[in-house]
Amino acid sequence: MAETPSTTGYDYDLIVVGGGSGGLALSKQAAKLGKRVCVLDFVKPSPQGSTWGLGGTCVNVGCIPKKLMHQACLLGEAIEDAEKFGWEVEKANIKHDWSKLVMGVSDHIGGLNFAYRVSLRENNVTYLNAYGVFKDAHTIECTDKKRKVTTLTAEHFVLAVGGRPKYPDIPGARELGITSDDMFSLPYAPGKTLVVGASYVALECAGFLTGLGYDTTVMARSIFLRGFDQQCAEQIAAYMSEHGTKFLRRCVPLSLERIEPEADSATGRHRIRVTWEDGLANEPGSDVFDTVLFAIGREAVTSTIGLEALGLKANASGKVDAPLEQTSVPNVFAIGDVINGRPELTPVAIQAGRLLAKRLYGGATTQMDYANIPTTVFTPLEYGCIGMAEEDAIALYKEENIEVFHQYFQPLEWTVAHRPASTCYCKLICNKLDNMRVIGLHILGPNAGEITQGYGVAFRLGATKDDFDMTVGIHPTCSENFTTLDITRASGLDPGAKGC
Amino acid sequence: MPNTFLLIPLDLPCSTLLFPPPTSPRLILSFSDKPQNHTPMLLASIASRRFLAASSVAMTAPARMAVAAFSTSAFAAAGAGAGSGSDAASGRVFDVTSEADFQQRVIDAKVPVIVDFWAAWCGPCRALTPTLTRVVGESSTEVHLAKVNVDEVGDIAAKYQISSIPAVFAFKNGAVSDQFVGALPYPKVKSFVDKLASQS
Repeated sequence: MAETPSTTGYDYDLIVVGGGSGGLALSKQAAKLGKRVCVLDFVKPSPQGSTWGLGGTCVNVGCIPKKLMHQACLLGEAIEDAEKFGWEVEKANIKHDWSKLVMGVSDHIGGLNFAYRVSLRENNVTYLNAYGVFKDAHTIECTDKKRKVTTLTAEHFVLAVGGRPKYPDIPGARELGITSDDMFSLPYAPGKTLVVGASYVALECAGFLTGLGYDTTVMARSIFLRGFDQQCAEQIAAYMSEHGTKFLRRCVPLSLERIEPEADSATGRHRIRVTWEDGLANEPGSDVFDTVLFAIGREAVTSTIGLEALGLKANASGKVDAPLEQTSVPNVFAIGDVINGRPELTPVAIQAGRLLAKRLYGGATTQMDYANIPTTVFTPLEYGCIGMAEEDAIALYKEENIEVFHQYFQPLEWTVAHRPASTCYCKLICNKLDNMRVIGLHILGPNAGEITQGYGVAFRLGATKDDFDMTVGIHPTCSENFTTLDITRASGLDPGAKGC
Repeated sequence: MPNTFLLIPLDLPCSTLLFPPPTSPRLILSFSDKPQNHTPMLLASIASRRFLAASSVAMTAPARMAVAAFSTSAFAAAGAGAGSGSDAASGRVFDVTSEADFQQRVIDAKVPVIVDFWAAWCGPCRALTPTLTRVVGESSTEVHLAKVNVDEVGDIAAKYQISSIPAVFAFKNGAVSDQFVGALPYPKVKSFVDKLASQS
């Protein structure tokens, strides 16, 4: 398909292993720079049999379906608000159709899969729906779904294989549990659901499932949202708890057991007995669920791609060391979730991929900046952040050298709706040793993702507290609270919501 | 009656929505009797996309049942709604299974062929395919309808540079004579097909 001949004597100038967000962005950039590029993408089915098309985790089983399901949850809340704003809502008639949601989400994803294939074709990138296993540093063996094997060579390789969810090593987990790989295409309504894990995946899924009306329990061994600001993490859990999500803390699952041999013909579900170790009780806990979702972390998919033929070693989570996206093999690079110690975020992989292609083939020297990456957790109460968690800032600079400004606020839209006054929250962490430079920004509230994105630019420009204060707010918005913060944590003053 | 019709979920295969006249008692009754009877169809559609793609994959029981129900009834139901055209259409409409199949039944065909590039996830495709089926069935000249699923026989879609679907091509003597993109209404589809048929 690609017209450009390889200039190197190999079949391709570049073979990208993995057609996720990062791999696709990188391959298209390299092709635009005149290189002959091939992308290998192959999804091995989950233990429950879920599989999907080109585009990787984000598009198929991550950001895209989860945000659509989050939106479904928010719309349910909006129906409640609507009544307060004068809409006459017949509550008895309000119900949610899981199949219809999955259908809408699947249709959108199907369209994206197709659009990605078209875009590779239009950029003269060869796409092979085949699984690649390295034979040596320039050779990869590709097996397609009909088990046809092709051997290809390339001057450069990029590992962009991404990750897949982990399962706990307990009886019944793989046979009866599901993960985010299955959640968004689940062909039956999940029913009473146990979400195991304290990751953002766990909280986001539990959040929208609760919002859609399912009896949902989160089982967490330890802290929520490890690596994120813990005050905000606890506030997310508290909000979810107030809105019906149940929490089992300091609990670890021991086993899953199918109660009836066949799935219920009406619901398509199995009843599953889960037994767990309860750190706060003497006896193990036990309950019956329709769906058990594991969201206990992810591992990079490197154990079966022939890393040993490259002389590369992966860590326990399957990740490889690749500072500046360069592995220890000179012609083999890596981007995205497969890199050790980098944030597992789609836009990070895309940016790193584009920059790597420009450095390899466009004479550029710009490196990926992994600092101050804005991100958002799409729990029912959204949480956006940039920079450091408060505890990390204290650990690095000591408590006396940082100043924390914070404020609870009530979005205007929540007033007439009679939603709580002191739930939404914003916080700036400033470094006293550096002109009160803002080193951490945190917000809990509606549209946190939209709010946080713009402040990412301010962080790149090194904004100080004074820059925030001199910025004129947009009234009435949630984001304007960042321009009027004057209560410090050290002052001990009440940061509760105040009037207009 | 019109209000009743509007209450029908939009996720139904568009064939069911489009073909029986809005006052069809069969349609109305089926919904007042069984409000949930669209669910198997939805499941089938989901399952056919997410599970059938990988042939070796184990499918959950409800999905399997739904797919079985779907493959035997869904498009048959579309045909039933198409009225007198449906019998004639049955021999004229086929799914393209490979590039060789495309060569034989489209490029080398002795009769004019309409090629419908479609996918299960594409709402406008779900609206257009039954219209094409009906029009081809009604044509007084023999015209075939070749359905190309862009997810399953993607190489053909790539060859014809399909970047947006539904995309419809008119083939005569192995060459493309006309084309359109999008879910056109019945009269426009009819004139498109009639134009091809009249060139025979």
